[in-house]
Amino acid sequence: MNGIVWLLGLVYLVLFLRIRYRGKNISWWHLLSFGFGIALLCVGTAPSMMQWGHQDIRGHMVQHLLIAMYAPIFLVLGMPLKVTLLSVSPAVARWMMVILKSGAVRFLSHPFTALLLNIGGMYILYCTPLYQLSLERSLIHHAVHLHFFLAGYLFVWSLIGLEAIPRRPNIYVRLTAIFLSIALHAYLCKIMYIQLLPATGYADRLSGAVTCKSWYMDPLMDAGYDTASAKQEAAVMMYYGGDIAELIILVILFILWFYRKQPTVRRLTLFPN
Amino acid sequence: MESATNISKAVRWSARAGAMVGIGTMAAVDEIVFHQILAWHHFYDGATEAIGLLADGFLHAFELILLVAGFFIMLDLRRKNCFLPKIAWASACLGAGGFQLFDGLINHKVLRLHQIRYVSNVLPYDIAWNMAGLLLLGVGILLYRRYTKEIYSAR
Repeated sequence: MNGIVWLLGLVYLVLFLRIRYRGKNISWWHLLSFGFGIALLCVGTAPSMMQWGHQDIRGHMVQHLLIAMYAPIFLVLGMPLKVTLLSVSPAVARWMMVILKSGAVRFLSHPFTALLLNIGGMYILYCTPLYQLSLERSLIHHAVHLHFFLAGYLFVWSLIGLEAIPRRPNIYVRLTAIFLSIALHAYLCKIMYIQLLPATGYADRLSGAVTCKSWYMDPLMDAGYDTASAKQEAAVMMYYGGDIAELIILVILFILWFYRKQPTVRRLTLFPN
Repeated sequence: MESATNISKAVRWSARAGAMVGIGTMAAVDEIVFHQILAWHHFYDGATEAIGLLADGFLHAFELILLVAGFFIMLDLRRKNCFLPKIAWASACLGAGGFQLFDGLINHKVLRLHQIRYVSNVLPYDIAWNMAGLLLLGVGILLYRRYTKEIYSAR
């Protein structure tokens, strides 16, 4: 898995340098950002990290934050789509544009689709026995990580709107998507903290009516103290780490809005001093 | 030559940006201090604990977006040279006090979404909460009136 990430970074580097060499105007900042994203992804998929994530829920959460939330932000800022379009031949680029303009891509890249894939995937992973399954079967394990990365990338890409694609939803739609994402992410973390999710080895407790008291106390009684505190620590990491990532996305979104929005008439010194 | 419409536009947008930051700040204080650190109430306590936490999540997202958006609108105004910091400060007080008072009167008492704290006598809490809101709102109104007068009389 780590090898694929290295390869991805290398391909980007070669394409980027070729574009620069041909004299196209593309900022070095994109390369820097993409490199940083690749570095984060490398740390997230390193073999020792994989092992930690397999044994310990906290390790899994660090991996989750790196792969699904932080790495995509910096990879998207590297504008890999633009780099690809600039380096392939015009005929291929034209075909790529046809695909990008198609209804399927438009549907898939809509912020709400991405939100559903990203946050919905998280809810399914942590609130159902899927997490336990992913620890047992390596195929599911890899599929979960791949989904984390792809859904996270798609979400960031569709939200911040750096790369020009035809008919991108306006800023209000994207702000609504990020609003829902922040709220649902924070909610999932708190539920995980209280309910000691993801469930490992005991029945899922979200189903059925429970009174408040047993809702708080039963999971603590069921799980051993060590695993319980590890799960709570993981939920706290997810809460704060995820929130900071969402804040970064929000700020980038507004920075792009700020630079895109050219004031039509610069009102000169309306108010001196 | 600057026209009266431009000035009123600048006042209006500076006030809006300030109010966004004020509301966001007050919502953040409410959410972080009273919901999370003291854990006195959630945004909606009428249903289960889970719904209360979900409502908190929405309040948190609301406040975060308002804060970031408010500051970026200020930046945009400054770029256009029509940002009025004094008006923004005044309306930040207005927004914070208004949100506090709205929360205290409408959310707590009329809609009864939640109370400040679940104790036998909530009245002292209500009085302190709404007085704080009223004070901020009063300061905001006074400052806003004084600053708008200053700006319009200077023209």
